Amino acid sequence: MAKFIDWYSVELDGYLKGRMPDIVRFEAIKEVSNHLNEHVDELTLKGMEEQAAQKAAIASFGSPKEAAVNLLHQMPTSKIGGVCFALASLTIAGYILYSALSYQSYTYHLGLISEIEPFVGRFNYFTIGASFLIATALLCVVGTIASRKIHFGKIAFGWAAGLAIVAGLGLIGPQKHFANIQPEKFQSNLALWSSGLEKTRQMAALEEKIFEGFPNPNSYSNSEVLSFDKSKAIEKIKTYAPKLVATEPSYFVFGGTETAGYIIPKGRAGTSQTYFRRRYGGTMSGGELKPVTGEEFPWTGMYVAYTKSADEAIKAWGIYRGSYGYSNEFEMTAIMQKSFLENAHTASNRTRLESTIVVVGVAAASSLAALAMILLPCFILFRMLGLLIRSSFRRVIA
Amino acid sequence: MAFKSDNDALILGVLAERSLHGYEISKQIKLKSKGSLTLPENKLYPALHKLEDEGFITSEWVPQHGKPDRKVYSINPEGTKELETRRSAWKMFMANINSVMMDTFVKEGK
Repeated sequence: MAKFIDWYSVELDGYLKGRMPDIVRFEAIKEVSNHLNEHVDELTLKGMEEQAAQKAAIASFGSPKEAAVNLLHQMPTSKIGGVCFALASLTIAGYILYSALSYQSYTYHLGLISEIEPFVGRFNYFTIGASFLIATALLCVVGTIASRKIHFGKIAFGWAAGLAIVAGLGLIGPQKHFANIQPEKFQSNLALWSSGLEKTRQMAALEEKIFEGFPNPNSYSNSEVLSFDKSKAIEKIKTYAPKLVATEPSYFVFGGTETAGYIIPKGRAGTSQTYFRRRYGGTMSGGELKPVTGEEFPWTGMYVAYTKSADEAIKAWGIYRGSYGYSNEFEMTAIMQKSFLENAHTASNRTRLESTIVVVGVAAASSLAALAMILLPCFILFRMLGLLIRSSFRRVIA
Repeated sequence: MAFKSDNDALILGVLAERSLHGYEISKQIKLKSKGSLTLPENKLYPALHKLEDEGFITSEWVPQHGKPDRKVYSINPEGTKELETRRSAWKMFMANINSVMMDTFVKEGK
């Protein structure tokens, strides 16, 4: 004979499972079952039939759902779970929001964290990303345990969001190369370099014109430079230098008796000065180059070597330029910088867009997918079981 | 019953006489009140668990011959003290009610 009380216990267990500690649940169900059995015993002693007695006892006690609600109502509630989930959610949401609004790549602001004491030298952006993932996952795990295992979906959400961010880091990470470029200065920097490039090309053309008929030292190697016809070179400089200066005063400054000037990257200035001074014993002066536009090239310097003679000046210039072959270093730098800035500009725009799409999109999609994957089958399974139990229970009762 | 009963006090009251299991507690309340007080059965156990958590009663699983173990509840000194407090409160409440309701009843000569 079907025991209604057993069915009742199963249904009550279904309502209580995962919502209270197992030991408390087992005792509560056993106690309720005992209560019903006591009532049945009493009724059967009074002459009632067993099945009718069970129905009466159950009716007197109330539905399993009602009993479960009352039993759960007296359970002390823990706020730790909620606090943990709130913290995890806020951390993830805050990070996603900050990242999405940020103009920089992800690795940049994670990189920033790694530059703050006491993280310097201890963490890179990957370890910080991993720590972030572990921290959010731990918060979800603690939250789940504290909230009595009823929020499995939240674990999935925490992990999915964390993984999405790590995936986002992986996708966007390589763009750290461009991270230190300030987007709002792209256009002005690009314009400056473009104008510098244009000017240096004009300058090269002018050099060619001025040194007409004379082997341009730029086109020779170090050894060839030393064998120049120096008297002609000196003559050319003396003749054409004033014209050159008059044409492009911003680029060439010929001062003193004999000078040689060249535009070099700022980072090389110290080397060049030392080189000139050691080799020629002349005096040097340098200054910031002011292009005709009036803007400043912060990365280059105009260095002028004041040598003892024009011959020395030519040598200095020739050796300096010869040591780098025929490459006009400023021109090369300008080309590289311009290209870099153009790429960085594109990359930055892509970073901003990708940041939003990849992280928010992937986080949302994977979270929904994880939730759906975990909750939907559970929901369907529980629903089916519930329906099965209830229909069996009602059929027997009827 | 016109006044809302205090389930905790009722439970402590029946346990003050002897240790009882849940079903028996429910029965005793009904019996002693001559059927006028019935503690909803599904609210009995939450109330018992609460009283136990508060430290007023204790429980133990008692083995039964040929039947499943059952949980028997007993009042402890803390519970007895609590029961006294509630009894005093109830007496005062009754006295106040009496002074309001019964005065007029007496004056009317009933």
